[in-house]
Amino acid sequence: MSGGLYVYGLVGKSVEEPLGQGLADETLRLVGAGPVWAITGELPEPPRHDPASLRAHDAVVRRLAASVPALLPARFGQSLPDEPSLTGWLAAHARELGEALERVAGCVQMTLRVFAGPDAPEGELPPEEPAPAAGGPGARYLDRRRRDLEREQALPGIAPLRDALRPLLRGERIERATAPGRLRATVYDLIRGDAAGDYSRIVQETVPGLPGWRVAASGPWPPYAFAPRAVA
Amino acid sequence: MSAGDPNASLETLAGADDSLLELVDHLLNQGVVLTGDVILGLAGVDLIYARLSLLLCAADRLLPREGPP
Repeated sequence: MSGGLYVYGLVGKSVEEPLGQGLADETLRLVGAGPVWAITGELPEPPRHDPASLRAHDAVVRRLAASVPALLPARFGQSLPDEPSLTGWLAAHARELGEALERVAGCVQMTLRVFAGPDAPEGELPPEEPAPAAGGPGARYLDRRRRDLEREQALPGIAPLRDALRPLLRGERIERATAPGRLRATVYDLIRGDAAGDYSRIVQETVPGLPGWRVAASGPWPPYAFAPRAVA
Repeated sequence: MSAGDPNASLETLAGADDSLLELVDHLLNQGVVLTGDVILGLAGVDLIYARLSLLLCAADRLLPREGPP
């Protein structure tokens, strides 16, 4: 069974070949017809769902991300059967993908895993904003949802760390842990590519002042968490 | 480790299993999705469950064990 056109990432139309080899040593090539193109490889079979393939895929994406102005990494295992299906998909989502490419241009991702011990101080949530006077029931509902989400993602227990990192951030996504346990949240931070050293230094300097909290930092990564998710 | 220990609260994932955990989360849970039908080759390890196990293992390694010494 053929692996089809395996997609490593999406780039702008200014990117040129050659692009080197993929995870199966296949020659990479660009597929597209508009402002957003895909870096693809033709695989003889689908990639195996194992650690070696994950590492190989990540190595290719890292190399590509370092050599182009902007890249949206594709999730592992993404294949489309042929060029028409891929170019059609790219055309259908060109606007959203183009905006995302602009956002991640020149940036890398840092990831924080935030764990709380049993006695970790939670801190205080930011004060609740008053509801806007204008707007109908739907607008007020959406505004309330937005404010609730912002408060939920505030992570007041590690507020000093987030405040210290804020000047470096070009974007941020927070995922609250849903399973019971000490993992409280994962923070994905988008920063300028040359700011990774400053980011790591701030984390190392600030976290010891947060007793009861554990932070595991990794990066820099290609901006996996800042690729549009619901684009299918 | 005491709260005054400058290394008490910060752990940077650097081990082989830890890096696999990070790869699983970033590559299988993030990134652009072009199709909901992900065609993958067969492998002996179910990485979805391995991801959950690795998350738990990572948490255990980072935090002191509770209970009597």
